Amino acid sequence: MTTFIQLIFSGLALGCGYALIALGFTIIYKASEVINFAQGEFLLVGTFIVAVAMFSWRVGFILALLIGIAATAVIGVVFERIVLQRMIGRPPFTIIMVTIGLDVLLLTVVTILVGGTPPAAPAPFDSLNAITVGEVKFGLNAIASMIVTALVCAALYAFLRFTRYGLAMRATAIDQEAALAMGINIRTVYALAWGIAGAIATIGGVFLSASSNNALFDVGLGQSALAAFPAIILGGLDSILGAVVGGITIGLVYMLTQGYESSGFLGTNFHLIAPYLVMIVVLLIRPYGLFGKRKVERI
Amino acid sequence: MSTPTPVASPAPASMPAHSGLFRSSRNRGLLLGGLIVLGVIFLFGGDGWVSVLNFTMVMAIAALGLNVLSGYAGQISLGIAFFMGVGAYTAGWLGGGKPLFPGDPSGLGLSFLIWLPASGIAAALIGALIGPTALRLKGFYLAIVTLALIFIGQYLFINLQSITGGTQGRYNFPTPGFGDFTFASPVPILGLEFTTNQWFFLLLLPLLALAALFVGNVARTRTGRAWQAVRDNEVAASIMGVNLFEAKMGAFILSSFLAGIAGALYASLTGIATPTTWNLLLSIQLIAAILIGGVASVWGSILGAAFVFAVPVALNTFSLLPQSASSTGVSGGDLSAIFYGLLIIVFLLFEPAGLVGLIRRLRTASQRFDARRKGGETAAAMASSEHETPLEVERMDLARQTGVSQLPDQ
Amino acid sequence: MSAISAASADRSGASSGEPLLTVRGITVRFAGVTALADVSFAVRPGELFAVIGPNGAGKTSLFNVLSRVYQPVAGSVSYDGRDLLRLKPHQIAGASIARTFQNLGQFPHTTVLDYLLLGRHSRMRSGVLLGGIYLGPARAEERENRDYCQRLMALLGLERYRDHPLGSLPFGLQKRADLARALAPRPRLLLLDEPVAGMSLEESQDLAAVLLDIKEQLGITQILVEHDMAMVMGIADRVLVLDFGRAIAEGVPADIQANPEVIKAYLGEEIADKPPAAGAVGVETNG
Repeated sequence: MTTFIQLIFSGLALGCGYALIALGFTIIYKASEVINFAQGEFLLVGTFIVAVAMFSWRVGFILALLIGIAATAVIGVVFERIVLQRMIGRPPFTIIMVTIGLDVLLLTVVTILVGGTPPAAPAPFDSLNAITVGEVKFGLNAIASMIVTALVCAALYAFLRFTRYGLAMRATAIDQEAALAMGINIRTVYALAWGIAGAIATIGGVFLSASSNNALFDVGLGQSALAAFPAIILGGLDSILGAVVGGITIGLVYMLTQGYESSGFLGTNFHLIAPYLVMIVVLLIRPYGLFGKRKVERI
Repeated sequence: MSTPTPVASPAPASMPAHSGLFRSSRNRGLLLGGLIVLGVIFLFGGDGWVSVLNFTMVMAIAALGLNVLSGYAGQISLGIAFFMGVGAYTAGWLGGGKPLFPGDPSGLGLSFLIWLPASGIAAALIGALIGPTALRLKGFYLAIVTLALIFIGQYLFINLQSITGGTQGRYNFPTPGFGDFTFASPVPILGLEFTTNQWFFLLLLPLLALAALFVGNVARTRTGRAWQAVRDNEVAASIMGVNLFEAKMGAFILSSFLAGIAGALYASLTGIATPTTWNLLLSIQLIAAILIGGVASVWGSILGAAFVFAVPVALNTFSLLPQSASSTGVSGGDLSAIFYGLLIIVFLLFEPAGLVGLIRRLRTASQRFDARRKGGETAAAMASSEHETPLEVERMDLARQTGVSQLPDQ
Repeated sequence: MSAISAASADRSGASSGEPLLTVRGITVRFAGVTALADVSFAVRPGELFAVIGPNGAGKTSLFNVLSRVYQPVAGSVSYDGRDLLRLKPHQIAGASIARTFQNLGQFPHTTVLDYLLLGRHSRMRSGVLLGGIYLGPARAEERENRDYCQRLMALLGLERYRDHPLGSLPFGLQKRADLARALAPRPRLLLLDEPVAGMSLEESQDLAAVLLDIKEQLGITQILVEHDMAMVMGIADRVLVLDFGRAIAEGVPADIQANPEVIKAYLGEEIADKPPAAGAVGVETNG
């Protein structure tokens, strides 16, 4: 029983990390219909910068986090301005490929900068700090992760619902041309979307890394963030609620399978593919995800 | 049909294939030149360079496979590395001999003429199995499912230890050979002594040529046209009579077949494979290869493979890397990854038709230049009306446009 | 225009006998909109049948049903004695039905020749294996079909543009190439989706003449969706008028032109009821 609760807890924490990744992804897609394969590496870059800020520049966690957020937001906006602006109207395949190119670029740059000596993983608390109830450990980092995710979701919701720019973003997501006709500055909306996505990526990356209990910064963070794709698909590409539901579901699936797989017959590392299997099953029934909408092709 | 009225410009009785590989004497000349260069490297380049060429040729076969699926038929796939792995392990299992050390899986010792085709067929069969489910999806969803293939593949490869050797890998792969003669322990033939790598070269070149010819032929006949129609607009294509399922499945199966062959050759060449060999990065490298070389193009696949796989080695060998880089432990591999990450972006921004498109542009531009020089106005006018096709239309953007056609701006 | 009228002078009794296409009670609904409601009509073999109506009347939806892209919620379509609704989109080509497209941006990089050969897809057979080997059946098939397409291009004045990508052609030529592509498999029934949209007067007249040639020399049955009233009335044997998804009139052009329902649909109620008096001011027009 305690194992089960422990696994559920870890699953939720992990799921929050995935939810944040999926959120960032969804924001970009909703605003500009771009599928950003590089979202995982935004995480990586952001987390790396936070790590550097914390350990090389000796800055406190919160400030380091803010610096990381600012940096990835800037990278996102710059990429959007320099590259994506010129690819408006190109077919989806091309745009996916461009973001894959960015993904490779970011990954390699960070790998080179890290070199042979990775910094410690940035985290608000020491990874051993936990609240222990009976035999179940509720790690402080994990708790922080969940709280922050909830805060981010709330903030995002408030932003989209109650602010001018949030409204503009929602309008653009529904119908770009109509939004343009209403005088909404699409370029600003795009930049905003990428900036927000970059910011969320850093937050997600830091907490993902923290809840994974790695002592050192892991260059594979971006790749492990690939597990967020099943979350994204589960939630449908363009639904905020879906992103969160998807993320948490996948986190739970991952942890539960990892926890119980030592019972042998499923072999090693089944938990790595469990999210993908769930995703495939969902796609078989609903090819556009649980919350997604059908696309119409015109002739 | 009513009898055709005579037209101003008589057309030849049967016209050449539209992008027939070696139609013009200029193309033939280039091909000859290329072969000569290859011959020189083969004879005098040293084993290192021959080995690089071999590796490139194997990757070119894989790139051809990827182009069939994603370039011509427009189905995004990140999963090609998986099919290569299937081919490799099939080859190992069927053709491998005795294990090289404890834990290394054994093989059935079957002949080259069995294990090579079988590796392609095994991959194709798996493609046929997965196809109907996967190809129902489009765009991003298809991409992620093929991504899932990579991870599921690695999981399977780790766990099927009796064939793959698990995480420690498999070293027991066959080398090509006929009867008693194998590439691993070559004997002089007709008094000529070749190294193992040189024998591989002599095998891989015709295999690549065969694959290239085959794909090129399919591309310029009924099936190739159907694939490109599916890529550009599925619904319109189906109204014109193209059976979407058959078309996509055909592309998927051929693509998997070629990937399997390439995987088998790769394993045979390098002599080792671990589950991580068949990873996402390999798929991405191949995607980069077709994007840089030229999507939906046979030459593009070959050029792209050369670019992505041979250039980094060249950089390393000739120490073209800046000294400071190596002191931070940067490998040629890392720098080349940045290099082609950047190149993907640059090419997609400015030359979506890849190197092949670039070459075409330069050629047309130089033809116009020649014409102007030679004959003044009339010739220039003729040249430019001959190639009335504005240069910008040469760009081969992939996939579906949904609406009014737009000429991309120059 | 006179040339067209003269040529179509004897068209009223184009043919008689069993209809080639019988549409009964077709209803199409999606996303809360009823695109077609209980539409019925019949087209005789060899006829040039036009479907007209204001924008949004459901003409393209009708075509999409006939090309099997849409599935109607009610009704039946009988083609050549068979149930057309059982066919999937890619099977209509096999049933000798061809369709032109309204939007032509789908294949900008395909050359005219390749586009026509694509039209021959249902009449050719080589697949991956035969195509890859090429020598033998595939090569013979290619040669034969290229010759055929060359003659088809010559017929429609496209031979100059054989190797030009469609996207590089002016709009009128693209339309002509699309028509050639639709004719390539020698269909029995040709569905023409706004064939003269965007064309100049001269180009429309040329195309109208071509359609009449298709009817008279090739005997192909044509169903035409169009906005260009003059052209339609000039060449059609019979006309169906749609408005808001319903069929409001069917008959020969002369009758349709005089039909008050039709006038009402196009011009609005007030004008239909009160023919405008010369110099009248303050006649209300509907928005």
